[in-house]
Amino acid sequence: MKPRISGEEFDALRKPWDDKVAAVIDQRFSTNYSRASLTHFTDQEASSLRAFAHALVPESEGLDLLGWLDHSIGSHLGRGDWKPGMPPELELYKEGARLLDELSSGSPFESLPEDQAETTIRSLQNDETGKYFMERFFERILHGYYSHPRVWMRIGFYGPSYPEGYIWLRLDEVQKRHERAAGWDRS
Amino acid sequence: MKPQREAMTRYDGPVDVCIIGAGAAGSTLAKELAEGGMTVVVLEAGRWLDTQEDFLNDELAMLDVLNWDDPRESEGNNPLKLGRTNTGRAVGGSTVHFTAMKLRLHPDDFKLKTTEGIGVDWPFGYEELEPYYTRAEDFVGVSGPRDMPWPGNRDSYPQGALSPNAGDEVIAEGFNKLGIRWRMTPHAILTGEKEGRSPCMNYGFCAQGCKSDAKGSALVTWIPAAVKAGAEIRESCFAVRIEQDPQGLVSGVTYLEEGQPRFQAARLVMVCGYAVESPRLLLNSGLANSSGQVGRNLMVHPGSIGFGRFERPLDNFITPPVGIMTQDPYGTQPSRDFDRGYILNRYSMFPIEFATTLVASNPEMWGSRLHQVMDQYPHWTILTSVNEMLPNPENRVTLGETKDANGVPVARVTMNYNQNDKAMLADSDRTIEEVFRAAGAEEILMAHGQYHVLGTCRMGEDPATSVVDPWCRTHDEPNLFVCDGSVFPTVGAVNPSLTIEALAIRTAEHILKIGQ
Repeated sequence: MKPRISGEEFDALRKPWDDKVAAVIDQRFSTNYSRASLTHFTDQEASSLRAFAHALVPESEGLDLLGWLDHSIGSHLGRGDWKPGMPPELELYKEGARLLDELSSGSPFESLPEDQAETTIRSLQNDETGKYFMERFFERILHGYYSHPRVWMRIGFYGPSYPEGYIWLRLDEVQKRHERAAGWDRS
Repeated sequence: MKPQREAMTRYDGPVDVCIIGAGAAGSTLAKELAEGGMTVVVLEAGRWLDTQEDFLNDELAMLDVLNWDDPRESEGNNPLKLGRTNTGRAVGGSTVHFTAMKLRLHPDDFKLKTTEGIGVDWPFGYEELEPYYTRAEDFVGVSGPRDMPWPGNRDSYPQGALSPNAGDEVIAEGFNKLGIRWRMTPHAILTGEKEGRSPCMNYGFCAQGCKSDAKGSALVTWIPAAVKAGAEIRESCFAVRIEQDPQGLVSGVTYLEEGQPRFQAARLVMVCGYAVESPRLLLNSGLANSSGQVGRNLMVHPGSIGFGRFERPLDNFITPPVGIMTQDPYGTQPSRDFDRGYILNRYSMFPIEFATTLVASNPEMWGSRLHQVMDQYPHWTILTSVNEMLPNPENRVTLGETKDANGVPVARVTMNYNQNDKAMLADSDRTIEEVFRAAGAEEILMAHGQYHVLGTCRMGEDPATSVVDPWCRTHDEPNLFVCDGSVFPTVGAVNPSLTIEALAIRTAEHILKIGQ
């Protein structure tokens, strides 16, 4: 897929960023969230959850989204509410991995063809714990995916604007900006 | 900001006033009371952040920095997501991440019981709060239009209105075609210079903490003035319990600083922790609850969130998140099958909020469907509603079964929408879809959200049905006050920060008057 923002254009956007924000975003760029080994999950849990993450967000940017989730466990990501009666966060993900395999009629979730994976996901949404697991797991995966600069380039988000500010505000200005950008002809 | 902090007065021993929470209410009270000559200590659970050093232009990086994301139990048919969009944790409180909409309640909002037989009246009218609204707007430097056509607004604001973005332009076209009046929303965002703060640069990162001080959060407005007047702000200090003496007066606050218990003695204690943490602290302290009303009548602003996709790119994420607005659907209208109403405003979301908001309300939004929508990110703009919810004693904050890391019982928050809430959401959904269709949108998607937490320590004349009196003093303990969004008897359909600040100025003025 042709990104809306080219590498060259992104480099130009990056130039004025302050050091702190540049370091945070460069780190995402250089690691792609990949982890040598996961801290919180067994191999079987990891394969089911990795396949589930890919079904929810079929990414083609080479990101390790389960690696991101593994790394982020323990951080609240700005949200402290939890549903009474549900297992604590890590247990919820482990229970979710078990449910995915169980709802896939005994086969591991990652081995399912696309249409059967879809059926499993629908069953998951009809199970109380499964639904809550999917909500929280999906939300966390989305945080990793949509904060990665490669994904910003794909969708056309310019990232940090400080200190120069985005200077194109109105319809005509935005249109001119897009006409110069790499992905304009796609839309 | 650093030199200001170094020069701050520090108190050892009892003070006149101990304020719990340095948000919109607490920092306003601190400034007003310190300027009136009282000795003031403010306890804030969050950190005292520096706008230049600590705020990053990044959605993810700021999530763990600005929000109250301690554990809370959330239940009911419409469970609240708590943290991010409703409760802050920093010096400046939720105003550090707020979108800076500065709207007044309408005069009708104060008399719902009398005029419509619903909800409850405020113990005073709009005209009582009006001068304090003006003072708060002037102090933070509100920018806005010159000719607001709706009731309860001033003729002109201290600063000129913000500029619309491309998303505003297409939505304005939809409003025009339907004959809906619209104006740029009044914001606590500068469009010109004010006392060392610079005008808005359209960074767009208001909710991540404004780096330029253009956004008038309490952190860059009330707090510096409070410190200058001699108030002490203690960051990273979590209030555990309000203590009581044998005579029934409160004597001070036990709090944790880096895990160590400390005690601050004070003649007056003011609880300003917003509508979840304020009742939690009162319930954990066993105070102010002879009526059984502490925690009851929790209200949020439910909202319809419409996403409209246009042929032309809009880059809607540029400029502050809120743009033009209409208050035409405000209040009860005979043509509709529900009580009260809503406002609509243009909104923007960075990618994480955009995707998670859509996904939370649309069970089909995953896989290739998600990409279809998100890959068109520059072509979408957003129109949201802020809906009025009426008080219901069963929507409430109680103590949960679990405890936080300090061993203090957490809040349990229960929220169920009633038929009126649902009918209003259906109507705001319909109106948003009509506006987008009139504007020529190629695709429209809907989601729902919830904003602000209000109610839970109702203000009123009757000690049997309210927690605080019309001056925010608790009916039960004469030297204990609650002053923040929890005291609102009803909530209108506007963002609450301006009303909270106006109430705080009024309360401070009263305390100074009776203290003389």
